[in-house]
Amino acid sequence: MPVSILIPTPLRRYVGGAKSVAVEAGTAQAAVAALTGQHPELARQLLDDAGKLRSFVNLYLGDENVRGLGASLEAVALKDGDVLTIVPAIAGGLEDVKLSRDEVLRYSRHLIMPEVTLEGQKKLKRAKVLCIGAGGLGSPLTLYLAAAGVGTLGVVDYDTVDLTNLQRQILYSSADVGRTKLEAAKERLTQLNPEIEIRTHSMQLASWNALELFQDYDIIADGTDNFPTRYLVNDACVLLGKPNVYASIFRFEGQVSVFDASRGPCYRCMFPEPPPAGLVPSCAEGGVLGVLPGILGSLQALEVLKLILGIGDPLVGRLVLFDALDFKFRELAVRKDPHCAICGPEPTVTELVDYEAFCQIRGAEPDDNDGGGAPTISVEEFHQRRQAGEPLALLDVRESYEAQIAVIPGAIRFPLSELPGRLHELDSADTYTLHCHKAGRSQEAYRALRKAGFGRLQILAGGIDAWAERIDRTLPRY
Amino acid sequence: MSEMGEMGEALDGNLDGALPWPTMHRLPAEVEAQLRQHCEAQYPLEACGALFGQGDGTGAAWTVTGLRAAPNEHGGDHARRYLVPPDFQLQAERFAQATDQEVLGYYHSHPDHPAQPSEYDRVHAWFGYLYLICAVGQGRSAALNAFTLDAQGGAFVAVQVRDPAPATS
Repeated sequence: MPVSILIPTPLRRYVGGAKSVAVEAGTAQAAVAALTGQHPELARQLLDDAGKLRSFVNLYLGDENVRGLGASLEAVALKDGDVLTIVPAIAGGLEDVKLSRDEVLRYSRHLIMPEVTLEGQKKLKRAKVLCIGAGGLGSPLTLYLAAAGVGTLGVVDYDTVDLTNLQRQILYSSADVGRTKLEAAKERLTQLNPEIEIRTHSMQLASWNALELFQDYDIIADGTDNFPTRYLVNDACVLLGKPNVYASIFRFEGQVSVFDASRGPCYRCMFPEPPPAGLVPSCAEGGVLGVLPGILGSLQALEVLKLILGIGDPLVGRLVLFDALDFKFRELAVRKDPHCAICGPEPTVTELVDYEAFCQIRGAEPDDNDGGGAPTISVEEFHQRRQAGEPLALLDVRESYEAQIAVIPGAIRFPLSELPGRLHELDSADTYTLHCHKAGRSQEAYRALRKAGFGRLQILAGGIDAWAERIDRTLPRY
Repeated sequence: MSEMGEMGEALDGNLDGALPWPTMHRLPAEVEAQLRQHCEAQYPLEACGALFGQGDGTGAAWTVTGLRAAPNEHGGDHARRYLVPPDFQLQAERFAQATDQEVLGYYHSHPDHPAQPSEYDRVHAWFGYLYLICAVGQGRSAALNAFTLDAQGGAFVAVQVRDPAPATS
């Protein structure tokens, strides 16, 4: 009996792209057997191990679902010219998760709030959040998200715990110094909440690994401290359609926002271009009040939880600035830029790029150890020559509060901020060696003095930090 | 990041390289608006429906030209699950054939949940269909993401869909 079988789109690849296949068969069962006999690849899609039509594949004869008849396909007789249609079941939806007795008790203060309830807590358990950076912001962020019961918490970092971290990174204790941050963080977060999954990603986030990593998460929380990574996180989130809960801190100030390009602006809408390299110092250069990342990281955790629960008004299209000294919160409206390079209607950035080049910092680290074009002298050579009796004038261009921490003996105090008004104290015919904390401000001083006509200048490579590390180990490092 | 150039060429619009071909799918703004409207109207229940359009036979470039909302017939939890009724699918296939289109895939909403496929979605997905997932938070549609199953049928791969004619041009 010649009959035809209509093939739905996803299965056409197994029958050479045909929309319909003609077979000779007297029953529906024989028709399926003839079809899968002709196209063995299709058999794997349609039949179970026993050779029966899989439970999620429907078969129609005309308008009737012959599966629904309750009879076996062998009993479905076919006439000449009948048309069978294969209809693969289309279903989906969210996982059902359950809370254990312990979890109900652990989250009871959430469960009794009408805005959260058991349903909300299940959303938290299903949620997958990735925190970029396990530092000052990442500490309160991961602690609060773990405590709140976010079911899958990813953490990206590649650093080790340093003594200078402990002033603000409350995820770690003194005993953790020298351990990798991820190892210490996983231990601490698991102690706090053993019910959740902590995934650690020991890597430097880069254009080649970001999309693959982000793919597995629902929400990304950016707690990084540098511009290349910030643009990278933003762009990857826009490309993947994921919300980016962002915060940053500097000294006494912080900012927080939610970038979700599907309903609001992204980071590039607000800052299309990064600031010139070196203009905005990092926490390592400019310092930060220890409690400040605690406040901003907690606000980030709050926005992550609101997004998961779908409650309240998220910080989409709004940038909140916090000034700790004045104790003022200010809110700025951020509009979606219709010409945004990545989330606009005609994007020029359609894949991840080289963000270090974009931020123009490659090879020109403001705080690295070379002089960036200026002649340099190593701390060892400087020390030897001075020991040998050479009269070398050393200018310390750091600020006075830094001199209270440590000084190189014999250095002349000449803070960068006072340089323009004190040039007359120097002789442009003399040779000066400049030093700062590491090397960044020495370069600025070098440029300023060159402009003022000083020709015999050199920079002490690595600054007082290198001196304390390699010449005089009794000096404190900071 | 010296690998960037190579990666960029290898990916060519395909987000993580899990599909062996570059993809470029199109979703006109008016169809997207219809889809969002349906998902919002069904909130707090899950919405689902069929996507019609033109394929290119390889799965590399689909152009969605229309959609049809389906009744959600999942026997259990409508806020979390959907099942496109087989009768609706049959009608959709016939409509596609009559209008010289293809059923390119299906869309559904995730009420108060991110627009990411769940494990349940993956297990029930078919390689060769385009799946659009729209997050709806408190009744307002949010992120809309597109996925296809990889060739092994093991994992969802995010793909990009773009409006072929942006309003500004």
